[in-house]
Amino acid sequence: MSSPEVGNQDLCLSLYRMMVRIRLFEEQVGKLAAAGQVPGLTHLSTGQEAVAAGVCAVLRPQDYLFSGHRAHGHTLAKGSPVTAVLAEILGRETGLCRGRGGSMHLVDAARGMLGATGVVGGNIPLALGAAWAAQVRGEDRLAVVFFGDGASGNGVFHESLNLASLWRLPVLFVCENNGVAEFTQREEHSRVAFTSEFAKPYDIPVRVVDGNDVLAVYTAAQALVHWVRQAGGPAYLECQTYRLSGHYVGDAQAYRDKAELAAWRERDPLLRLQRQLLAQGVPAAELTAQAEAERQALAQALELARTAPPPAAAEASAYVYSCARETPTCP
Amino acid sequence: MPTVPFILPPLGLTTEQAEVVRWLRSEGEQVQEGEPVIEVETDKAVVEVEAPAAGVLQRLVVGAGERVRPGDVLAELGVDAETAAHWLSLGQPGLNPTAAPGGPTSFQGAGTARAAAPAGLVPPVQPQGPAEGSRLRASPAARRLARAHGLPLTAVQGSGPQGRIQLRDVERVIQAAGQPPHDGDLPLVAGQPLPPLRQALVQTLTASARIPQFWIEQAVDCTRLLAGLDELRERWPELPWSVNDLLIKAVACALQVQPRLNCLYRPAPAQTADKAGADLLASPAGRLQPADGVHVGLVVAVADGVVVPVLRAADRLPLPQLAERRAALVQRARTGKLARGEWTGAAVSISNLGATGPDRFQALVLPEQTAMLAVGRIRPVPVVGPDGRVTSQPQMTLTLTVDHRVADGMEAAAFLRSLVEVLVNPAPLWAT
Amino acid sequence: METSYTEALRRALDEELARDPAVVILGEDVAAGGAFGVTRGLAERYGVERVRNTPISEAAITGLAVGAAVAGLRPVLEVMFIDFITLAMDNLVNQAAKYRYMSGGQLSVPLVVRTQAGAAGGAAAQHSQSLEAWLMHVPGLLVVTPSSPCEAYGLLKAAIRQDDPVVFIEHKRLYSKREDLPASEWVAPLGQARVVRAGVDATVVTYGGMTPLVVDAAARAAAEAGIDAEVIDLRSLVPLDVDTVVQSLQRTHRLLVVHEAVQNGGVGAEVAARVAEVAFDELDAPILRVGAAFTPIPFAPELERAVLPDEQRIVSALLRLVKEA
Repeated sequence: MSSPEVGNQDLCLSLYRMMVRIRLFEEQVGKLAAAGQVPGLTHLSTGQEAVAAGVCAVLRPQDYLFSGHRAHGHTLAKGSPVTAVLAEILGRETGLCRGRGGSMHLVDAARGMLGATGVVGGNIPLALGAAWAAQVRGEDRLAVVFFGDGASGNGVFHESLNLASLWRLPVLFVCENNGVAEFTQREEHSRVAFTSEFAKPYDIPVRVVDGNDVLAVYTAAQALVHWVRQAGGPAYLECQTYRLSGHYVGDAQAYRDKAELAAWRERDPLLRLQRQLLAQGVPAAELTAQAEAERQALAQALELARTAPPPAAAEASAYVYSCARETPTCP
Repeated sequence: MPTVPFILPPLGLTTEQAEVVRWLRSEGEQVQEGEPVIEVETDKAVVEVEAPAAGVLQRLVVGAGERVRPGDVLAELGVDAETAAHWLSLGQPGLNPTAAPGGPTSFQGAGTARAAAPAGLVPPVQPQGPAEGSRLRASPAARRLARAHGLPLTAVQGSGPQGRIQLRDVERVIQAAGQPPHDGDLPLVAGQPLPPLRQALVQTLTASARIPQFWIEQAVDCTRLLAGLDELRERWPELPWSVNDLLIKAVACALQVQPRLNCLYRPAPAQTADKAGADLLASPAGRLQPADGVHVGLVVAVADGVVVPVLRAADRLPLPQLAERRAALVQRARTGKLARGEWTGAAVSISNLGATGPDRFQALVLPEQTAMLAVGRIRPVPVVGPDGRVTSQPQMTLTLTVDHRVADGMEAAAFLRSLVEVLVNPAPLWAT
Repeated sequence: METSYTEALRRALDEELARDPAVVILGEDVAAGGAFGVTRGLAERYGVERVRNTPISEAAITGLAVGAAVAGLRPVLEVMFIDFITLAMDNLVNQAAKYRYMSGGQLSVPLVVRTQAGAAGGAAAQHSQSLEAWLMHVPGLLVVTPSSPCEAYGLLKAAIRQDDPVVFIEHKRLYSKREDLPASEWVAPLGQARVVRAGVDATVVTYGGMTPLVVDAAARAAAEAGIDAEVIDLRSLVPLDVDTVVQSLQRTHRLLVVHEAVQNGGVGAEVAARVAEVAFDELDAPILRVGAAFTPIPFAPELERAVLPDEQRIVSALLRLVKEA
């Protein structure tokens, strides 16, 4: 995959930095979760950083983003501060959602991150709605939705492909095809190896890329986003990638082939970009400095998030309705 | 043979408990429906309780001398299957409040009472609600209205399903009395049935009128009494002083001097329960029971009649405490909140019609009590002094009514003399 | 001029489309007027972009409406039969109802899901249900049940202006009912029940399609048995206006709840429980309920009649409540 952008060292460094941020973040959350400091289930995206970083790098701040239960990387890549995301995952009042959402339900409305949802496939029509809102208002913004290959088993996925195509909605579908739906290998849940095959009959333009090559992801996303903006219709980007972590923290991963895992470790998107950058003549010290800066920022964020107060129990029923009372008579 | 519980029925408006006098039939004996099988003594009378159904007294649960409450199981009655089935059909939960208020009752409906509930259960209606274990069916709204009027639910006939007392039933009783909650004396409505308290009074006063009683009378110089009251008000200005406080204390003193009058007259067991009103007269062989302390009753007017709360141990109470208790007691009596035991045990009661009352009057002795002191108003009376000069003296006339079965004229006169002595010179009452 | 329930709904939509450019309509067949003709003529007036036909994809179109609401539109989605809301439950229950909460108040969902419920003669078990109790069980949703043309008009306008997701449940039998609408614009208060008929002997609480039936039954009970019942139309199940019910109960002391839905786990159970909690002492009789038999709605008209509440059953319940209970 070649692109004029590949020679752009600033871009490559910013992609590298974002991927490092996500990697360090996921590793830290993994440790916290393993130590029992994260309430509930925690789904990490270790190994899939290139998709989040590559796609979000082509988006504008006003573009809408929707994600699923594995949303930490997408949210960070859309620009949410590490502290607020971490505080949310730890259930703190200072979190993005004041501790009401948690790891699977991150929302950062100000940065266009309109929502992650814990129901596989449930986010897809939501993205269509945001895209429709932009269309109705004549706004130049699009909606991106991240989902995994597992979501292609969901009826609403197919309904949404039809509807997006039918209404020419400015939406970019991004499938992170990591070959496993929760704990089940792809071969056991679908005969169709590439989920983008489902988009084709609905007349949706499709690209399939190596999702562990951030520059390939970036280049394909850029082309599709350009197409969505120009044509005003949907596009579908399928990224072949691999989840280096379990479905959730603590998953024993009995369904995993050890040789397969080792092979994918060789294709770690972060190491790959590192090699590319070094080959381009970026000094190793520069990369180390970038990583160190992220490490320090994360340490600071962790300290802030850890010491932040939990939400007040008296406020447990706040934010259910737009009116303060349970029996609103407004507006 | 199926067994059903033989339960003590409601014994009237104010009777919450009774004492078993004796069984008239033994364990294992066959009894007929309506046949008297046990005698219990309430604070009003000895009552025979009839068998609710024909059957065999399989097990006597209570014995002589035991305290029992309406709803308590007296015995287990072995009955035939048909009777048992009928019993069950009546008796889901609950008790048909068919007892006539204020008096002993036939056993009709008592079979629907359930067995005794665990001790310590609070009766749903205070102060005179159904006794422990007897579950009155009454709607929440009816219970609330009755509570607000101090009306015991046992005095209300339920017209709802399975005898449930409903709002309309309570309203009917209240309207009959024309009585808003806790309100003053409203006239009884002509043509309406008597309110429950009035009905109870009819029973009591009829019994009173049958007591062989006599009256003696004496005027009292109240000069020092009034001065004493002023002094008390000055020393304890926060207390609600009344001349009644001195009267109660004086009666208590006089009773200590003349203990013969501090007795309760227990009439002999009646021959039949339904002659409860007549038993005092009909039974020559009553017995005297010394009171268990120096307790003094005080007649208090309430909406539908009078109640007579009792100030217990009046001889031992320092005067300021006595005044405080007297005021609280009267308040509870007026609001229908007297607790159990607060209207029993006195041998002598005082009826004082107050400053605007008559110069003097006679009052009836209450059943079981020995004497009633009627207090006329304090009024200026011209008196001739030793020097022959006529001056004005505040006086009141005390009229003592005495049960002649208990005491004679000499004893009564001695009591009255003691009483007057205390009242003429009352200062020692609070000197110590 | 007398206006039908259908026309009243249309007037509300028309006025709100004109008032606020964020208001959009979508659903199956809505551009052509919808299955019950409510949206007739609106696509012509406001364009097919704002009155938009959808595929028969209840899950996707409901999700889409939620996403659009989150992004700032005020969509009015028509789900043709409440029976089909089963297909949209993830989007309603997991997404719409929780958006505001899970985002810590960052986003809200100003969405109205118009749907219609109830049995009206032979539509059978998959087109006749009354599923409102499911929805009132979900924190975050509002549930509104208009009982007359005026109510449909005022409540729909209120629902559209509400910032939270509203399930707006119309009733098949009501579409042809007619009455005079207010000449000027009127927005009904949400969360305030309405006394439809004043009375002193009993309080009958109902909502939606049962309301006219209950009013007729109350009139008959008055004429035939001298029972003067007060009838309360709840208007909305969330918010549930228990205060108005209790105030009525303070006069009548007897409560009957009537709905077309089955009794098990129904609105009547909730009303009865709430009343018993806050106004136990007002009760002079057990609370009674009238609802459908615990049976799917049958096809044969004789069977349908057998399971549904009707005027006679309501009158009998009133008699039992006032005379025997």
